Amino acid sequence: MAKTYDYLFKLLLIGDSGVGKTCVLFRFSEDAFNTTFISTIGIDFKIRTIDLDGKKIKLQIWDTAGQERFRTITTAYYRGAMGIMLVYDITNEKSFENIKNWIRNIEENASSDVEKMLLGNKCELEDKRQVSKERGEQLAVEYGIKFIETSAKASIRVEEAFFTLARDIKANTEKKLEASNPPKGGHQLKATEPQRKPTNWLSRCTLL
Amino acid sequence: MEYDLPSDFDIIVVGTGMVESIVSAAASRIGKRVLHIDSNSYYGGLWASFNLDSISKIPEGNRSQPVVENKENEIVYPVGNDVFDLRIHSQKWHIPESNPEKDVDESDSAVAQEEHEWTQEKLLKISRKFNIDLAPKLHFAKGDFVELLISSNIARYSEFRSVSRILTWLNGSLEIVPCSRSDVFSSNRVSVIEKRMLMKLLTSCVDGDENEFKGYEGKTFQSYLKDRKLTENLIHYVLYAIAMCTDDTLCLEGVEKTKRFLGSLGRFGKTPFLYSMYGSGEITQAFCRLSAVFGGIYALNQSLNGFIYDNDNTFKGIICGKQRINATHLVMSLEKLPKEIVDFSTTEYISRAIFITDKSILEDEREHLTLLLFPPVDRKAACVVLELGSLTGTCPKGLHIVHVFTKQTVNPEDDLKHCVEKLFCKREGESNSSPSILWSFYFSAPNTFSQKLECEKLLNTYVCPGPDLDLDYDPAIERAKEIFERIYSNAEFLPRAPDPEEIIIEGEDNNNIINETEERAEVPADQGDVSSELAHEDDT
Repeated sequence: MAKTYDYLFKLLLIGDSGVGKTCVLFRFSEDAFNTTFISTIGIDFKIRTIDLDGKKIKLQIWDTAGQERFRTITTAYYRGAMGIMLVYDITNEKSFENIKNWIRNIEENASSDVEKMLLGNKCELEDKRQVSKERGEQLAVEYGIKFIETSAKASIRVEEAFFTLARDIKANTEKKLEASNPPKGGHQLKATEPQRKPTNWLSRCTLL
Repeated sequence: MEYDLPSDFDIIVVGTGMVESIVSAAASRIGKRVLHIDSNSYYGGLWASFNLDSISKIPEGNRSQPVVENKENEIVYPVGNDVFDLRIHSQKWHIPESNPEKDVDESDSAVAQEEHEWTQEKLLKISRKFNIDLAPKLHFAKGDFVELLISSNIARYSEFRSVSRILTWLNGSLEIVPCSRSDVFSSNRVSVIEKRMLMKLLTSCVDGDENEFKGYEGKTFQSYLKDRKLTENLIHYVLYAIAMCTDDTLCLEGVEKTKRFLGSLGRFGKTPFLYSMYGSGEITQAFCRLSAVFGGIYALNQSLNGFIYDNDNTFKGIICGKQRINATHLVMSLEKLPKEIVDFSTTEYISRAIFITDKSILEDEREHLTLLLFPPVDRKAACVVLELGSLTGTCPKGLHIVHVFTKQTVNPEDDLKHCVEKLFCKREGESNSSPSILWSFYFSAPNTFSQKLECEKLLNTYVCPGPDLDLDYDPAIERAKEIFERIYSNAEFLPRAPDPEEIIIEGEDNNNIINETEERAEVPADQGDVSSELAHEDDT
């Protein structure tokens, strides 16, 4: 079967309970919002394919399945992730403070070259704001990552956030692809050195 | 703790080992309210994988806690016993702590050589690249485990790599076991006549009718192979490598084991086996993830202070921290059982060794994932050797993790010595073609599968065994299914979880927002297609 996309990126949502990770996910994947769903029964991940600079990019976005609540995210959750959205709630100081802990968790478990991005969600609740935009920006600078304030409810900049993260991962991926190709004028692989498929994909199987 | 746990559940699962995790997933999947809790800060219990830094700190087991308390109408049992602890024999480095200062003006070749001089410091720096299994497992490509992963749709949480070669020790050296038709025919170790004999034998093992094995009911598989006039080499391949038998294995059992091996050939690669990327410890987490996705609540690193029973010894709840949490059923791993209740002792152990080595036991131009079935010699039991390279995600490039294990007779060092000595350099610094051991870890793990774990004294309480000697998870799945069916006798065991696309989100103001689309969720996974599609992803 022909592939209907050029790249597949696995993204994760991470952050405290109640910051709106699932709402952000549904806003982006279904363009829907519902405040009544508290838990996320049965939902593993959502998929949306986007167009980016002429390439079709399939985003597979994984939710924590509530395992963030008591800090019991499995190490398996982080495997193969290429991008991580760190989400806090601008009306909840604690959720912002915990971003540091989540970053430590990511450093311990995720691949070292994973792209990260910081989201301050619920920005429509200006009157309840506890975390200023400047503090969000400052934290992002500290970790050298991008930052954006979003509202899943009012549909503000959620698209922009995912597109930004996807664009950064795409640039990284393409840079790596280029780097593994021989530079022009350099040593070229000839027929005498038979081209081999990259061995690390040879016998890797996913039982789907 | 920022949040209190809810205080009422249908079932509480204590311990995140394999059997517990399967039961947890199965109960959540049918809509039961599950609390899955562990006193460890990591998933997997005795089935976990660790990085290099943390494996040096693993606790040997539970330290005993306060005594049984009798309150009005209730008895509170303390959690945990020390009967089923791991017994660590030794954990040693065989390389220097760090490199002494080097002269600045060294030649390029010396610098290049230094790259391969591993030190403790260097390895600990990349500690996270190691995933070291306490209970390494392989999966038969058409075994119960793989079928369960596919039928339940849990397969999406893990990735696997196929074992790329099977070795045996024959006439003083390592030999590749020809295990498929093409292997048999391309092997130059097997003569043309032997090829025909072997194919004929394997065919009759798979297709043979009753008459084929008539008269062998009480006899050994070895005697059957001898009667079939197989050569010594062929008997060795079939008996020790393909069927993984001993000289005493009965014929019909040997035939069954041969069938298990052959039946899994040709699905995902050259051998019948798969290994889970990033270590076997990921597998328990996959079941935990499914449980969580279906509403199971997870809490690790909990101080479990007691199991509460009423005067009729019916389970009522647990004490977690200061909180009382009630539930109807309790499922727990063996090591969490109150000491007062343990009325069996474990006499059976598995002798295990784990090594970090600097090259493969049998070097080749490409990296292999190797299973070596070391045959029984001089009354020493057969050993299983599993060598993992960096492509499995369990160790850094240039190194290997080697697991060696067998049924315990004396202790890990003595039980495995004969095998280890043949495969690795004997002395530190000695240079020959054998790999050197950089780090070694010897321990004994209780083998509790043969224990009768019916907890007759305590009602609504179910006990899960620890890891066993089976290569795959078949016994664990069987035990989990048994427990599940005793609790929920009419419910389906791990029906297929719907794919995210199959879950429809209804209108915004509807409270029942999430519904499985019935027709689609009911359609069974077409496993025939799946396997044939996957077959193309094999090694070529």
